[in-house]
Amino acid sequence: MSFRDRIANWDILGHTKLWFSISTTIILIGLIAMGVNWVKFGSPLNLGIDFRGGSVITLACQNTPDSQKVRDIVASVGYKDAIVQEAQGNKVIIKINATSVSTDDITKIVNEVDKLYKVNKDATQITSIAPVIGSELMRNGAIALLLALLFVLFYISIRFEFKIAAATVLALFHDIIVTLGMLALFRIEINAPFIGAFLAIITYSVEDTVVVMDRIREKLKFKLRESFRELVNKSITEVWVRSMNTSITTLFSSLALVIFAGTALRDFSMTFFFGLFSGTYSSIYIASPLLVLFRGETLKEEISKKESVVKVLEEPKESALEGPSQEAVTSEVNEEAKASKPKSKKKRKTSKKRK
Amino acid sequence: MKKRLLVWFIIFLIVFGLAVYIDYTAITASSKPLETLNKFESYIVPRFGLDVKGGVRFVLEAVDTPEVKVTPEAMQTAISVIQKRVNALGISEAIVVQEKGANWKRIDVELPGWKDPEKAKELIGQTALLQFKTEDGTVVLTGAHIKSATLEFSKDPATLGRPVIAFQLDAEGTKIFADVTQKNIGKTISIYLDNKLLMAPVVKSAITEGQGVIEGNFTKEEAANYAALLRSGALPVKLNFIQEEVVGPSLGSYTIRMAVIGGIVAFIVIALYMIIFYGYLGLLSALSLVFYVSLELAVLFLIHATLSLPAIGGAILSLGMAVDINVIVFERMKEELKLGKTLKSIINAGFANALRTVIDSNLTVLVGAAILFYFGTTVIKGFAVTTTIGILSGFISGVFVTRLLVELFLPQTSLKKPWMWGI
Repeated sequence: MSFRDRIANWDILGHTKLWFSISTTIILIGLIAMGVNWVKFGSPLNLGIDFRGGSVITLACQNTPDSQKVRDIVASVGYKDAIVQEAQGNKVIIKINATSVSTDDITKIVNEVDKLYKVNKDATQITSIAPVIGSELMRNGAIALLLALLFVLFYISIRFEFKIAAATVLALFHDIIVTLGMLALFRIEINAPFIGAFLAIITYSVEDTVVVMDRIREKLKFKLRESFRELVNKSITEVWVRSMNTSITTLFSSLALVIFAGTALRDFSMTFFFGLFSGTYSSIYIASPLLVLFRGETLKEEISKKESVVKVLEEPKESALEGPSQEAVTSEVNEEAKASKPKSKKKRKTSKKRK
Repeated sequence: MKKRLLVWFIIFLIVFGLAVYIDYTAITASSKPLETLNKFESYIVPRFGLDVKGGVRFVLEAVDTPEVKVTPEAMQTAISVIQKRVNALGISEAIVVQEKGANWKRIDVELPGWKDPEKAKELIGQTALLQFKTEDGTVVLTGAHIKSATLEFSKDPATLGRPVIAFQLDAEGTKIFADVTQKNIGKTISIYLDNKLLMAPVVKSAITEGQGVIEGNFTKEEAANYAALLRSGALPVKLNFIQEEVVGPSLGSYTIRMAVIGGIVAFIVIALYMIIFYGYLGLLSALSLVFYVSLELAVLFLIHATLSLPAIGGAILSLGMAVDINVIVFERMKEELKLGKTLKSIINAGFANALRTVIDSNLTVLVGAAILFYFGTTVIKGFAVTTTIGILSGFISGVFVTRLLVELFLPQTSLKKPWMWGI
């Protein structure tokens, strides 16, 4: 059996419990990590100065700096809670969180370190952000993401139906929670570009889910003999390779960033990496089972519609309105009646395109 | 039918050629000194963010005070005042802009290559309101009437050689000053800068030529700075520094080199993957990916997008996203191929379905980017802009260019050659 055949025969929906428990476990791990962080560091996520305000001073020195001595210098200027780290290339990173640091104090710190270790001014990096701005960015970021989610709910409801939209948005929530949990677990520092990364994650997840839902909708139009559950399973297995490939190509570019780009971009692309994984997973293993849960396994709606069509066809006067399908053989009547509509729609679409 | 394709192909070649030309010119221009660039080159030369080229960046926020409320007009004045002050620092590429959207009360100041944040802060943030007050405290003249101010050295025997600020008033100011000095002979007129008393000389005679000298125990540097401040005028509103960034110039050039390498590696790996998975079709998609990259860069150069690190990162990530459309289309085409359809209907089915999916998901991003653009800070706005450009060029190259290439270069005989489809 080839790989593709194996995928095609995979009963994904039959293992719904397994998929849900995998997600639940990952989310739980993330939540526990957040809890531990909260107890240990006072905040569930490792928020950087973009969100909390404060200063980060990175100094490249000619002599190897001793972080303890630098810590003393910073404390003597008045910042006892500062975090001082040594980094590659004789660098020392001073982080002062959640307070406004005056320029004079920064100058003092830089000069003192310069006296001890000779600072290379060309490679100095200083960032200061007022705490007010940090919390504002946090609020605006949350608003932006929430609005984007609402838009997805609204748009998918219009293009598909509300139940599909609900499944999509729930899968998106899943992705956001999973990613936040991983960020907490690995204590990745979160700064402004992460708002962008989250937007990209949402996009990705929506794209993957839309691909699956599109296929389900398409199948709904033509095939009604199988149960909704079988139909969904078939849709997922058919688009499985496609979903994987779209993710893998993007994975390549985020990996390239993780490997080659500097720390700022590394954290950003790591976030994206987690989100991408979760998005691909959720579109197949979360959103689709959710849709089956929401709509029921047997396609009641469609079956009742089917019956109504049959009833209509049995009454000759009404069936005249239905058009060409009245002459069809009874066993194929429902198929024909259903299929004729989408077909004509399709024709219209393609003719539009030719223009 | 074939004729229509040919016309499109020619249009594609022209756009492609233009984009490559713009990219080439812009990239070569970026390594030349600014003065040697011609008009076109200096128009499209890449604008790198401060995190790439190094320098100092401030964000100032105007705040309401009991006396003055912040208005859009006041913001305009403040920007032009800051612009003048920054020019006084002698930085050629300085950028002073008002933020758009919800943050309209903020001004971004970028000083590329500048290393001394304190001096810049002193010069930019000071209100520099010069006031002349009579003994009873009424303001009779302000710095608004100063036409020029320069650093000079005192010729007064008592303070000989000390740095002072010599000023020249405009016509109206001269008239007022003459009038005021005439009325206050024998009394003092005090001079305040930002409510700090600089001097309070006794008026000996009316001053009619509108010239004067301000003494205030300045150092030479202070006097020069104040003179520059007085020349550029006072800020109409109170501005607070809310963000400050200093980036050493050697850091950025290293990061950008690594980012470029990362981008090239990502491109090669993605192209190889597509070719392995979709054979000849993959090769066509790699071609349209080349088009995508050149188009995106050209547009970014043309609209003067600021290429900060997150923006560059976003652009590299979007490489992977851009081929998604091709993956969706090719998978569909493979399915149709198995059903034994004709080449034409395979192509039609593949692209028709992909178009819908792509529009659905891309619209979400565009809306998200618009929201980010409204709410975000400058860096996030930059990300929103590059994302939008990336999506749009990805749409053009994935939907139109790939289709054009497939229709032109996927031969009828390919139906019997599985390697062309990567099967």
